Amino acid sequence: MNKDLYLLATGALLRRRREVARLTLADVSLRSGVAIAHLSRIENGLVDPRLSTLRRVLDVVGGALSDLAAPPVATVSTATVLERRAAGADRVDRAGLSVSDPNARLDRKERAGIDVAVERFALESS
Amino acid sequence: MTVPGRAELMRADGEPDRSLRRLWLVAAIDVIVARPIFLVGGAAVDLHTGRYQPTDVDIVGVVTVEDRSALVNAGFVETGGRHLRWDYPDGTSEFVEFPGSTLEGSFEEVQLSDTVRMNVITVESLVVDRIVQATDATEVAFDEALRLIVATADRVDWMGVAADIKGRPETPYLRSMDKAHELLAAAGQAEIASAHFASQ
Repeated sequence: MNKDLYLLATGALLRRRREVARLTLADVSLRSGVAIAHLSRIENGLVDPRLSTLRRVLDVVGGALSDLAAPPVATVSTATVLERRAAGADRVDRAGLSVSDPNARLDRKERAGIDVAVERFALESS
Repeated sequence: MTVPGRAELMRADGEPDRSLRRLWLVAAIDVIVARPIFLVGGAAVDLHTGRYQPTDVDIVGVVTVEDRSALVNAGFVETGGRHLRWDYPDGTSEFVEFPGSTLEGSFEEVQLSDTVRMNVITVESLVVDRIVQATDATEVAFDEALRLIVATADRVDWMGVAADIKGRPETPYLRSMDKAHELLAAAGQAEIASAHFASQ
């Protein structure tokens, strides 16, 4: 895994731990002494934090440095991608499920207050 | 001088398969932005079901105003809204949106060529997302989740899905667990439903 991806994975893990502990960034900042802005950048994988900083954050949100070992990331080929898609389509068809209705999806988004004008245009012109 | 992302954009332009051309497009954006980005949403769902017609390509990752300008310089077109548009030579277009900066869940890499990889949200994280969406009790969200589960039930790490749902404090997890049970039963996967999503 390259360094950027490792930082993202680390940040995501810390954010998840913080959320599970039901702590805000301000809570963690107060208890760890790490600035909120720096915490936010760590969670977004934008900085490479010092080990001492990670330890202080983990002390608050729960966990150990060993938890930050790079998680395994699977690599798949394009052949696998296409095989999965074909197998999935076959199962959906055999189950008698209709093809996903994009208009119904856009209606739902619109009811939720999301502007879908571009997507409607994309749909009509596809 | 090599223009960043140009080779990947050319591969997207020349790729006849609709899914693979989107993957090449995301790979091009990854190169131009120069930070990890992840394909999520309906275009990712379509990789597993083949029965989803995405209306746009959702990508999460940190994409700055400067990145957006770089994408426009590379040939993407501003639509005046949230999307950028890429026009393929065959006359079709792809609308790309950046709905967030962080990936909710895990990802895998797709090896597009010897030297090019791009990141896609895993099927497990997609399933969690669709189950949570289906708790809104709309028929369309239920159907979307059901379609994905039917297409992938035999290869999903259901223990991981259940753990992910339980670990999301921002969602009413009991409702998500019940919905997962209901969806799996509807998909003919009662055994998985009982094993991982039995009533709490």
